[in-house]
Amino acid sequence: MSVAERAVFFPAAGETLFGVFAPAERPRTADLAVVVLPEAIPAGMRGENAVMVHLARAVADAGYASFRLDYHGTGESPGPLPVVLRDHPFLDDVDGAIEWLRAQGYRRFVLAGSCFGAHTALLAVPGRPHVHGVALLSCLIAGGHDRASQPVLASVAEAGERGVEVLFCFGRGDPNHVEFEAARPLGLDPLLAAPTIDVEVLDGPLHSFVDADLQPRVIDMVVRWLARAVDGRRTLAPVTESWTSS
Amino acid sequence: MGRGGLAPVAFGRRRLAEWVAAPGGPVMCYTHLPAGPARGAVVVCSPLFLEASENARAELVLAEALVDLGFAAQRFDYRSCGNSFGDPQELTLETATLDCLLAAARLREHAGTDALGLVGTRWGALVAAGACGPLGARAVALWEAKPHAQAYVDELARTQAFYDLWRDERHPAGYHQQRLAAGHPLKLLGWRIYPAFAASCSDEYVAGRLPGAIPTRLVHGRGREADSERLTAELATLGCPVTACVLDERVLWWAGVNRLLHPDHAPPPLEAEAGATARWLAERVAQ
Repeated sequence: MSVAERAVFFPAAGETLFGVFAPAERPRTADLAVVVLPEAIPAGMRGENAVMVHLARAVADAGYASFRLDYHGTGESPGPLPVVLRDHPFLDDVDGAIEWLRAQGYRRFVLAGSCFGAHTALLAVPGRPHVHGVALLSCLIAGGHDRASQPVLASVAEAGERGVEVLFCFGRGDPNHVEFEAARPLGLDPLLAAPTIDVEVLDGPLHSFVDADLQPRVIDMVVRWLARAVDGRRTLAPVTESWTSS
Repeated sequence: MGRGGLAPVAFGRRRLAEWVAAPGGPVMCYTHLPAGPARGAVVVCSPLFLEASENARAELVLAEALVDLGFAAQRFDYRSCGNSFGDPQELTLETATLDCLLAAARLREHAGTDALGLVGTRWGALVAAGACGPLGARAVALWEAKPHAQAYVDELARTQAFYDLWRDERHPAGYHQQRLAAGHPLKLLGWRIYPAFAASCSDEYVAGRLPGAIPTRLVHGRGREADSERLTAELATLGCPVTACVLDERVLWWAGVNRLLHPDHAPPPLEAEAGATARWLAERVAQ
């Protein structure tokens, strides 16, 4: 249990947002931190069964500092409820969190998000060379009816070219998984061949973490993926063993 | 132990987030302080599970409305919930009430006042009612309270039964209650409701937890008139001055289910009630 957590109010694009910093008790790396991005819901990080809180703590327990945040207008962060639109990620909020972490000495960042948080994490890859990896749980893929989002495709392409570590993880049959599968023949498939991109599909509903039994498995999977992604040991065993890969 | 960060977030306001030491693990408290001396202070007891997420915004609006009136407010996460630490199997009505008392003690330190009020929503109404006596509260507002805690647990079980039907699963009536009684957790939309929690609710009533005649504001959504009338009658026997309000709109809890049906489902309408509750409390709690 990470008991050294620290509540933080940090600046982001003129707002003051709320976050929680969890330092690693036994750091595996001195310069890397994980930014945890929740789904965009009014309750912020505490929503979704508090899974993102548990994920952030598990990451810290595994040896990586984590920082979870409430987007502007959600959770403890002030402002009116934000309008959530595809291809309009909350990048200012991510940049604010990264700047705060930079001030603590961190230089490389992994972004881990769920649903819109995953969408935001993925679209944060372009133009941010300090983003080392992204863990995308139930990521929004489509940009509209029957088409893959162009910003999503561009982000996946840049991640592959730069060697950014990427984990796509879906629950089989979840709406966002259906979107993902629909996008594959529409330009996504060749991009997924990059050696730093993993795709995992779990048997069970992942979106909104409505399956209590799946939650610890997902957290464990992200932590194991993180070890591979950060330590660069891609020869280690796959992050999933009993789960079906797509 | 975590450290709190203090930062001004709006003109004339201060916000504080910190973990407070508690037997079950540090409890996260979110404190709202007025710019000047507090006229009084209010502790907000949230509901649980998905309901806590759905009500979070209304509670934030309530806290800021109280600050506008010169009051301090304390929101907090029960042990094992939200940003608090702790074992979820230890979450019971008793332990949650203890967490509430600790949050209130911390609020008193920050606000420098003994004039306290409480707000509780749904299951949190039972917590708030139970804390009124130990805290010497001057008034309490209860949002969408069930008169009997067991009725709340039954409602959770029925929500799971609804979700079962969604997945084409059928069980006999009372199936989930029986499993809880047999020691199995109820898994509801990603939350686990543990047998100890259910057991702690079996013989608890809102009226039975109140210390006596305390001004009480009851707020229920449309369709909950029976709960409002029963609570009003029970509180009247205690001599409580009761202000009962029934909103024009229905308050839909466990909208995670509804969200699957209606992606554009609006949040519960209690946000609109926050201002009225804050003014009502201000009149009765002010020192």
